[in-house]
Amino acid sequence: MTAAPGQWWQRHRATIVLACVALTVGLSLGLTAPATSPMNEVRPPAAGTGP
Amino acid sequence: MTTGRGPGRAAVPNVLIALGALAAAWPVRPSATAGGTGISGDVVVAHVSGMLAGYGAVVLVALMSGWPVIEQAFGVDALARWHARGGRLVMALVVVHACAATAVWARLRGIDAGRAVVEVVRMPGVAAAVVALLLLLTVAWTSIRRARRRVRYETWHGLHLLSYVAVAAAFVHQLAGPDLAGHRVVQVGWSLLYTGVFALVVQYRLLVPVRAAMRHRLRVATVVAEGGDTVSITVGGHRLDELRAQPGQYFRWRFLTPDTWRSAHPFSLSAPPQPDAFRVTVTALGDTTRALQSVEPGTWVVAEGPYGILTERRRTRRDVVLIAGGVGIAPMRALFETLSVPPGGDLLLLYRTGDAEHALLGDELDRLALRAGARLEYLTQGGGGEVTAASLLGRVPDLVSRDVYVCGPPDMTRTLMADLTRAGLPRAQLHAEGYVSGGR
Repeated sequence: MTAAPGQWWQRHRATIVLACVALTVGLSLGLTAPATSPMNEVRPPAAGTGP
Repeated sequence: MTTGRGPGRAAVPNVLIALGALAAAWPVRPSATAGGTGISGDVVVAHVSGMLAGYGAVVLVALMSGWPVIEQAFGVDALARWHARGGRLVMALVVVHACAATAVWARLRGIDAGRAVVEVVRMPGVAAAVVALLLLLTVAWTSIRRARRRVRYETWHGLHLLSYVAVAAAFVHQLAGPDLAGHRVVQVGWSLLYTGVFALVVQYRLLVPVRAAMRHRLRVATVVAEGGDTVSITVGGHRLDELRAQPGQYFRWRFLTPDTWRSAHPFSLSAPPQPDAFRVTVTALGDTTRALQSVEPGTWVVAEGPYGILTERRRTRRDVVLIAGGVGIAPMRALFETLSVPPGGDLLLLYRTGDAEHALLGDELDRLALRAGARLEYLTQGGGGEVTAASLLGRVPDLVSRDVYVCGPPDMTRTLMADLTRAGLPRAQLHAEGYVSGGR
């Protein structure tokens, strides 16, 4: 027996809202993440500044 | 708990996890050569260990998320085993990554280790990663002490929840780290992986149990002493048939008393589930189970489940042997009452116990054994009570043509499963779970 659309929405509302939140947060974090890392720009220290 | 699963079944998630690990390590290629430094062994170790640790951490969280899709496919017990093994591996990767990354930075910059640590910690997201590392080391330390029984289960469990904070904190570092930075598609994918897994945790570890608690309103109805340090607790509630629990299954129970609310414990249903009541039988094996011996009627209860594979649905043959040891009798008692016995069929319960006269649930079992086709035999120490394939074949010559359900202490269950398989019992006919010995 298939549940009526209203019942289906009632049953899955929290799940759908949670999935939308996860999607939004995931996209936001990914799209605003740093484009560079200082670790990729490693350079030896200038002369006289080393240990 | 220990669940019987064929080796082929475990291969699927292993392959999937390994493919995921390869994908996770893939972004390392360009970053490992960044800055014109070329590829060297320590650079590769630093990068690959970091990416695999980040990937492994989120897999560990997913395994324990309570997601029914994987729980029903592989069993909660197998997932918990993989989580424990994987936890050690991820912990090792985290430590290797932290040491290797700092050492590489010191070498490439030509500075000493102390200054390298200061510089690395000042990089974006690394302070959060250091917090994550400290939290994970705390969790690992308590896990080791827990294994040696030097930490209470409740303490260990409470600290273990810090792992979620640690994984979230480390995520900040991963997103800003050298392997993901600048690769927008990978950053978005990585973020969605993490938010998706944490959404599963929120859904199945928080929302579903809370919603179920509000809907079913479980409360202790009666507490009946069974002799020794054991009680049967009947928990009443509303619309329990909606949970579709089957005899032989178990729930994770959280009894909301000042002494027991902090942790949930797995107890099997020791009687067939009713639309308005479940019954569990609890032996005092630890702090919580001792406190439950005197739990008051009316106590609120939260239950997660049902879980477990010891159900009639797994049955493939007409004749069945149930083998129970110790508290493992609880699910077997429920199955003994409800498994169908076709005309000419045989349902045999072999119950290993120290004393047949005072066996746990013995009176109920004796009564249930009166129905046609059902038989009960006690295996007592000193009375030929060895539980090996050879001794069982002596009692039940057609054992390998039956379904065999086993529930007992983990060691007994594991040994017997291997023994029965060697004796020729097909894996499809063997259904086994060991009751949890720790944390009770």
